[in-house]
Amino acid sequence: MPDDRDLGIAPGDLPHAPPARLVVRVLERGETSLVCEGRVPRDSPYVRGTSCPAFLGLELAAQAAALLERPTDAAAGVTRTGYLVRVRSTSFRRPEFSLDALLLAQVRRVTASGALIAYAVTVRDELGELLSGDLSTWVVPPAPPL
Amino acid sequence: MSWSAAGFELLAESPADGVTVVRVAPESPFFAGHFPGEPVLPAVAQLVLLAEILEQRVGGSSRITAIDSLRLSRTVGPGDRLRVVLRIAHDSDQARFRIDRDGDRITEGVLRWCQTTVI
Repeated sequence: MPDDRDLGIAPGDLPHAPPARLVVRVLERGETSLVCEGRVPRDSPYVRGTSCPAFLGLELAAQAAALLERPTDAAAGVTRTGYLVRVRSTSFRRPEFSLDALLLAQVRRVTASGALIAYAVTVRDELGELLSGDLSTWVVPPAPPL
Repeated sequence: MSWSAAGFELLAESPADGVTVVRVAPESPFFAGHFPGEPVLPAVAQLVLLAEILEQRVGGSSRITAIDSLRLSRTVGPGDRLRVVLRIAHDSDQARFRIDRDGDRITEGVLRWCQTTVI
C-alpha cells in the first residue's frame, strides 16, 4: 500500500541541493526521532551503472538527522548547519542498492552534549536493511544577529 | 570508478608505505549541491576515495562491509591536496586509514572490507 504521509520540508530546512539532496519527504517526526524517505537522483556522482554504494545510505541518515534538529530552529527563524563528524559500529548488509530504490531512513537521537549529537540510524530499501549503526553530527551554533 | 570520474586527481602513490596523494578536483561532481555557495566534500565522497584506493591495492573487486570507526575533524574543499594512508591488515578484514591535509588530520578510522567474486 503506498505511503502518502508527508510532513513537509520547508525551504532552508536542509542546505543540500540536488543532486546532493537525498531526502524526498518526511514520514514521521518525534521529539527524538525521525523517519524519512529518500531516493538517489540519477545524476548523482555516486551512481555506478544502475546502482549506488551502500555507504551512500549514511548521507541519507545524516540528512535525516539534520531534519530532526531543524524544527525548533526553523520556528525561531534561525538556521544552523550540521556536519557529520563521527560514524561508529556501522555495518552494510549489501555492497550496493539499486538506483531505483526507495530508501527509508530512521534516526533516533541517543545523546546530545553541546553541539555534538549522536544518533542510532538504520536505512532500508525494498530488499530489507541496508545499513545500521551510529553517527554523530556537530551542529554549528547560529551566528549572532548583526 | 576511475580517479578522474571520482573527481580526484592522483598525484603520487607509494603502495609499500600505504600512501596515496590526491588532489580534489575543483570541478569534482561531489561538490554539486553540497553546499551551494559553500562547497564541502561529503564524508561519503571520502569513502569513495578509500574504496577506490582499497580496490587498487588488493586488485580485483572489493567492497567496504563495515565502518568500525570514522572521525572527521576538518572539512575538505575544492583543490585540497590530501595525503591518504590506508594500511590493510594481513590477519583480519580490517583496514586503518588516515587522511591529512598539510599535516593536519582530516579523517581517520577503521573499516572492514571483503573481496567480491564474480562468477
